[in-house]
Amino acid sequence: MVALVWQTVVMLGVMPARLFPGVDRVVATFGRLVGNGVLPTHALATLARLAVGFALGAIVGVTLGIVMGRSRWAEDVLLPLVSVGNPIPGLAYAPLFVIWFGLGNLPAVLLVGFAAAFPVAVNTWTGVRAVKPIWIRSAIAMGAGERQIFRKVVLPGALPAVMTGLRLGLARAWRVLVAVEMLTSVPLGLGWLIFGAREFLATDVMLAGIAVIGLVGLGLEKLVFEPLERLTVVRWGMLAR
Amino acid sequence: MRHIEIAKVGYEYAGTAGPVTALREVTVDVATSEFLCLVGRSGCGKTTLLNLVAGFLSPTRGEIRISGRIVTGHGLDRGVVFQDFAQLFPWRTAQRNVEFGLEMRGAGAAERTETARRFLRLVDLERFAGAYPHELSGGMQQRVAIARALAYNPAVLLMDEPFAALDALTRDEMQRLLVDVWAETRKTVLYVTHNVAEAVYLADRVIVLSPHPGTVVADVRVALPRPRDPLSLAFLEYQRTIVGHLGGRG
Repeated sequence: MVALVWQTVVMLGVMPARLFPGVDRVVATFGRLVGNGVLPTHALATLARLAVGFALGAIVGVTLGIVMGRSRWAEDVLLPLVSVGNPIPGLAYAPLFVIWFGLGNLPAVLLVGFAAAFPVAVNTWTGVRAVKPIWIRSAIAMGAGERQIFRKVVLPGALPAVMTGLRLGLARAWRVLVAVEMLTSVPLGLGWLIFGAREFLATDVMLAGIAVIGLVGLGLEKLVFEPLERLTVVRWGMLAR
Repeated sequence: MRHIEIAKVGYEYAGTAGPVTALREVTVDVATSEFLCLVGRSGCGKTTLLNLVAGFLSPTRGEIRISGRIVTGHGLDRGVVFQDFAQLFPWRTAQRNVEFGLEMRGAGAAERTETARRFLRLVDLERFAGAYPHELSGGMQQRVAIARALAYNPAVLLMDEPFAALDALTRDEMQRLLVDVWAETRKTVLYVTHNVAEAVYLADRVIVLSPHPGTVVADVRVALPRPRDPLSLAFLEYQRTIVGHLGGRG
């Protein structure tokens, strides 16, 4: 449908063909760039950065969320910081990170982790706080100690919210990563590919890059999160689907 | 033999308008393998008393002993079943829920599996061992909860209106099942309910509590053979007696 409208606009000649390539050309370019390995190389570089950055953000976010959920003191100190930081777009910090960490991979990865950590922390905190008191009571009645309660009740009980946090965190990481690649002059990456293509008015390359970004995002959702949820929270009936 | 001794127990808590006395001078002895029901209107402190015996709360006066030892906290000598279906862990199958207490006690995997199976069979749910709680009906979930509370072999079973949220037909079924389970395991049972017919059906003895503050107003021994017929005259007579003690109109 979108392709159809797109193609009509192209054929009407509202925009110069060079700036507004037809669907056929985008598809052809996509095929060519996948065939000669350009797109996969850039996509892999971006994915590697995403994996490292997101892992960092997830670990920090989950840890912070648990600490905030378990300790009143940590909640008082950290929650205001996290709550204020959460709605700020990660990209706003990009220039700062470039000044602090230079150009290239390091600031990109760090910024991705930084941006992802906020929703993960907030949701983990919510999840830990939402663990039902009756589960804790039952566990205590059956002789569970502090550590057992934490490992066998609080962690699985908080999992639905943690999953929500990870999903939001990943989406945020993905968005900030593609943008930050345009700013930190990484040698390879989808963001960089799109940004670089601008110099040559290669709109077909840009659109092909954008298509890959969409596909990867969809793939992460369908191939990572949905199966994970089906195995856990959906199976447990803890998430309405 | 006296198994649970509740001696002159009082419980006070801080309310919005100063301290509230929930229980005053409550003295009840429960014999080994006895089925005791605590009956009373809402706010009579029956659940508080159960929580004191469970060790979730500490009495502000008097003391509670189980097998001669003063209760200071929770312990593996007591199993607890709550009213709320949500007491089961949704991330564990019925089988793994029942295994929880054994796990805490450090039992080996083979023993856990075998014991949990046995108790699921006791509540007639062996076929559903692999089901998650959300796949079970309310009555089934409460049966899993009973199996779970019994599996690590506590001497005392504490039950807080476990069937109150079930429909009437399921409740009747569950009461019959509970009597069978009790007859087979010979636990000492402390059972809280506001349902007089349920108390007469289940209990060896019914303790009637009156509210504000909670005190014992009657101690009725139900001398009817089991299984009991809720429509018999003798049964209705017991109900009438207890309702009389509750100060109700019937």
